[in-house]
Order: sequence, then C-alpha cells, then structure tokens
Amino acid sequence: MREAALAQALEKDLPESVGPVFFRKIGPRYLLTNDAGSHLWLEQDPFLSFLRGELEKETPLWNDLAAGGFLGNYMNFEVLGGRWRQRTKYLQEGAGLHLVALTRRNSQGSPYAARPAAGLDDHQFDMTLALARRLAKFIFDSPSSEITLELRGGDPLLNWDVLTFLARHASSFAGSVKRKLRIAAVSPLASLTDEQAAFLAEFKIAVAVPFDGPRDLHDSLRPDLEGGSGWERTLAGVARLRKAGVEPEGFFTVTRGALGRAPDVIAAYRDAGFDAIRVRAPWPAGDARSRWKEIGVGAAAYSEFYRELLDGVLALEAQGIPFREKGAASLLGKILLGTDCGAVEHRLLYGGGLGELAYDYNGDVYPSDEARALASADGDALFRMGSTDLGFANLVGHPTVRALAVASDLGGQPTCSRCAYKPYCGVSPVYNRAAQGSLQGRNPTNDRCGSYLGTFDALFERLRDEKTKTVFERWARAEEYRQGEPLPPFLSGGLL
Amino acid sequence: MNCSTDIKQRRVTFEIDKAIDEEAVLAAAHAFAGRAEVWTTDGGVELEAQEGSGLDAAGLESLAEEFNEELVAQELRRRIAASNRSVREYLITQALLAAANEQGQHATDPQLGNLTGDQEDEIARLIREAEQELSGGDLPGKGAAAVTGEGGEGQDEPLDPKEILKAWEEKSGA
Ligand code: SF4
Repeated sequence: MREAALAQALEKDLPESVGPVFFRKIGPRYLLTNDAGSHLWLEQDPFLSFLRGELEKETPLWNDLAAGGFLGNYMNFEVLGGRWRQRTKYLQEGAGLHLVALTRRNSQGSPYAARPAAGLDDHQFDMTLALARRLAKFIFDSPSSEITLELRGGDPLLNWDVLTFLARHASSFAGSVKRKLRIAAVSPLASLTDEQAAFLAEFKIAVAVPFDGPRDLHDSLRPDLEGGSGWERTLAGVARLRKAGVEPEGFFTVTRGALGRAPDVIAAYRDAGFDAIRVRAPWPAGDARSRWKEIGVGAAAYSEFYRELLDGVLALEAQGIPFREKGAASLLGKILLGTDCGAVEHRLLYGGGLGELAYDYNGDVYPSDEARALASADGDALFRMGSTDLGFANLVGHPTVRALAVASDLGGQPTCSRCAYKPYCGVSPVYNRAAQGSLQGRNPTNDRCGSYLGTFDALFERLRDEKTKTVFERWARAEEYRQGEPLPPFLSGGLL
Repeated sequence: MNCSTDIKQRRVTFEIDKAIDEEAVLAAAHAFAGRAEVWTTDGGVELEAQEGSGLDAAGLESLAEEFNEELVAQELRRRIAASNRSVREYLITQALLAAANEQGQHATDPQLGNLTGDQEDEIARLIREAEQELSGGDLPGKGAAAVTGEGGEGQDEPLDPKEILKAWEEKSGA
C-alpha cells in the first residue's frame, strides 16, 4: 500500500522534535516548509525518521532541520520570529498602492472589457479633471510613506489630459509632503505618440502592456476596434516607447489558444525585444466567462503550460540568453530571499483595502483593482465601498475590507492553513467570488489555488537543480522589493 | 487494500485506521471535493466517484488508496498543527511585539511627521480586529490553549468550561 510507510508515524504520538512544519509530497520525496519561510527536501525514509523522532543528532540533516526551524525542541525564536516579521512587514503598513482607472475606453478589445462597452469617442466614461484633482490629494491621505500610483483603464493613455495632470500633481504633492512616489501605467500602447512617450519618460512612468505573443493569439483576444491589427499597433507603441528610453514589460494571460505553444510565446516575446514575461492565469469574468469554453484554461492545463514555458525560458538561460518569468521571480523572492515581494495578493490576509485601493473613472472606490475590474466586466458591484468622500480611515476600515481580510486569512482557510505553500501564497476573495460565488471559495476545486499549486510545484522541483537555483536567485534579486520603497507596480492581481 | 466496490454506483467502501481523527477525515474529504463524495460509515468511509468518472474496479480501488494516503497525510498535519499550536502562537506574538516596538521608534522619525496618529491607530486597530475575527485554522488566539482568562489567585481558568466554543468535530472526536 502506498501510504504504508508514512502510516507508521501514526503508531505513536508525535515527538517534541517535530516542530511547526508544513509538508507536501512531490514525486518520491517530501518538501518541508514553515511560517518562517524555510524549506527543505527530505526523502521518504528520513522524513519518517523525523516524524518518529529517530533522527541522529548533529548529522548534516539534523543540522539543516535545526537551522530551518523544523525541530520543535531546537527553535531559535528570536531568529525565526525575525524572519516571519521580515516576510510580513506589510502588516505594519497602510494602503500604499493606488490604482486609478482613467477611462473605460480602449482601442483594443479584451476578455475583460468593461460592460457596457465604451465607444472610442464616448467621453462619458472618462475621469474628469475635477475628480482627478480630488484623487491626487486623497491618495496622500494614506499613512504609507511610500506611494505607488498605477494608472489603468481601458487604456489610460486615451484620457491623456487627466493622466498628465495626475502625474504632475502627484509628483508635486509627493515632493511637498516628502513621500516617495512611483507612477506606472498599463496600456496596450496602440495610440501612443512620440510626445506621450517623451512625457512618460520624463516622469519616469513605468509601463506594462498586455501582449499575447503570437500575432494570431493577440489579435483574437485583443482585436483592434478600428479594424487594424492590435498586435501591430501594440508593437509599434512598444518600439516608440523604447525610442524614448522607457522599457515596458509584457503581461501574458494564458488562454486556451496558447496551450502547447509556450515556445511560440517565448519566441514572440523575444522578437518583440522583451527580455522577460509575466505570466498570468485567466479569470472566469466578463467576456472571458461567456467564452470560457473557447478561451478558458483550468488549473491542470495552466500548470502544464507554465512548466513548458518555464523550461523554455530556462533553456534560453542555459544558452546564456537572459530571459525571466517575472511572476516566478516575485515568488522566488519570497522563497529564496525571505522577503515580501510586494504583491498584495500574496499575503497572509488579502491586501485589498489593507495594502491597496482602486478608483474607477467615476470616483467609485474599491478595495482592489480586480474588484473594480470585476464590477466593470461583470456588473458585480459587491465590493464597491463608496467614494473618497468617505475619507481614508472609513475606506480602509470599511466592512468590505474586513470581510475580505476574514475570508482570505490563510490560517482560516481549511486547505491553506496546512498547505506547504502557505508561507509564500495568498488567497483572493474577489477571484473566489468571480469563480465560485463566495468570498471564501473552495480551494480543492478552485483554479487559482490549483494554478498556484502547479506553479509552486514547478518552481520547487526546479530549485533542486543547483544551476537552476543560481538562475532563480538572479531572477529573485532582479525583482527584489526593498522595504522603504514604494510597492512595485503591476503586481496587483486581476484582470488584464 | 481491503475494500469493496460497486462499479454501477461508482462506490468504494473501506475501513480506516483507528488512529485517524475525524478532523483528518473532514480535511481529506475537503481535498477530494470535485473528485468524490465522501460518506463516513461505522469505522470506515464510502467514496462515491464523480459522475462520468468511468472508473472500473481497479480505478475505484486506486481512488480508495489515494484517499487513504490523503487521510494519513491529513492526520499527520492535524497532529503537527495541534502539538505546535502554542509554539506558533509564541513565535508570531514575539514577531508582532517586536514589530510594534519598531513602529514606536518609527513614529518619531521626522520624515514621517505628516502622518496622523489616528490613521496609524486605525490601521493597527483593523488588523487587530481582523485577526480576532478569524475563527478557523490556527492563528494566535485560536484553540483551546488560548481560550483562557483570569482565574483566582492569578491562575488561568478555562473561559469555556462547558466547551460551548468548541466545534462539533472537536467535541465528538474527543
Ligand atoms: S491558495 Fe492553494 S496553493 Fe495557496 S496556500 Fe492556499 S491551498 Fe496552498
């Protein structure tokens, strides 16, 4: 019987030496982790000896277990507590990430396009200057000393006057109240002009672009609403932006058409001049929900694609061609560097409201951008909290924020509370609402959880190889979020 | 593995190790959501594979073996969590106390002079509140060891002598 070996550990009470450990069987061996973020691989026999308290003291394995904080009777609370604190610094900080949707208009379609769709000349779906003025002031009411302002849409570039106003005024507010500010924008860049590119460069605005790699994939998912090729226009925008000195990053959403095509996706990214990709799983929301059979991807298919892509990227690295998967790099920072990667969706408690606030074009405030996007794609305004008139304290203390925190607590989620990936993972009640109709969700049938299990499995398996580990360490350092800096942009989960 | 199968009903029944607590059965059943319905029987479980799974006798036996493996893993996880609850609480409390001290020093930083104390208090209060509201799992403040209050002569007495705060699984498993 397969379980016979481990079942021997049930014959008597656990010895004191078994500390607070999470474990997961991957292939023939066991991965051990703990809240301090340590991890260690054990073969089956040593794992059983560990569970039975039969490990010989002072052996290399015993020393590794002790150093990682896995031995209950040899724990250095000061060191382990310090590591836990380092990883969860965000619990002491306020909402520093502010995502503002400047318009619903967009020249490219999207699986999550707003409903009702806004025509390209439909300025009623633009944020007004008066509202932008209030917002520029409001975000500095945040107690956080570091502010990240991320501009989204639709295509935020289509509401250019408001974009430039916000960038200028937020910069000057930041200067006068001595806060660190980082500005970013997510845009298909389809209509980018040289003047706009120069402005983005001048204000050091980081830019991310949803890019689906191969032309047919991009054009089928994000068709150009003016009849051209969205793929061509996006690449023209990327080139224009680079000419101005801004290097954008590319977002890739895995959809059914991409399955089996990981090498094509990597090639398309390289041809477009990118040296990195950020891979995301799709959400069953908006248009993607109604077309799920055509474009949706479940956890198993996502994980398989992800492994193929990761291996393709690592093969490039082996040839001396630097290329990285940025989502992996963020998670690897948590695994290898023991730091918080700055992603509000990978926290002990969901970061919506606690680490992030999102504002719609009309001034509606949501705890997170994915909550705002869900309202605009699905018309599900459950998470809308009101307007900035409520004041900062009332928004971050809103019952919605508390409900999200309670629903997402990893210690309260039945599977997460004992999952080996709990030290590095997080739950999104907004995704749960979209996919499963409840804030708590149900992880065993939840594709987001399944996709993370697949992603972590792929990363940890590959970490066993020393050469890959060196590459992964380099990736983690390249994406490292340093405390005291504004949160990195583009890490807020959601629908792009 | 000793089990009986009913291919037509997609069911497999088997006895489980007496050392496995009911909580572990629940956790394993939760992990199998979407694959099989799990029913407890006297001293065992019955799995009903999902409709359309098309499992033959060998497939059902393999499902039972997998479930049994999950049971063992969940029971170990339960025991590890239970025996280390106070250690984890201590660790996290220490970390939070150290962080609170750090924050106290932070507040005197002139760089941050424009932050209002009320806002900082509000965030801290919310985090505390959220943590208190968390009722499942094993965060600090949860569990029998933490449910204590002031007793006579400075001794801690259980606040819940009749165990009305205990979940039914805990009671029936005891
Ligand atoms: S969401 Fe899934 S992978 Fe992440 S901690 Fe929870 S159970 Fe583990």
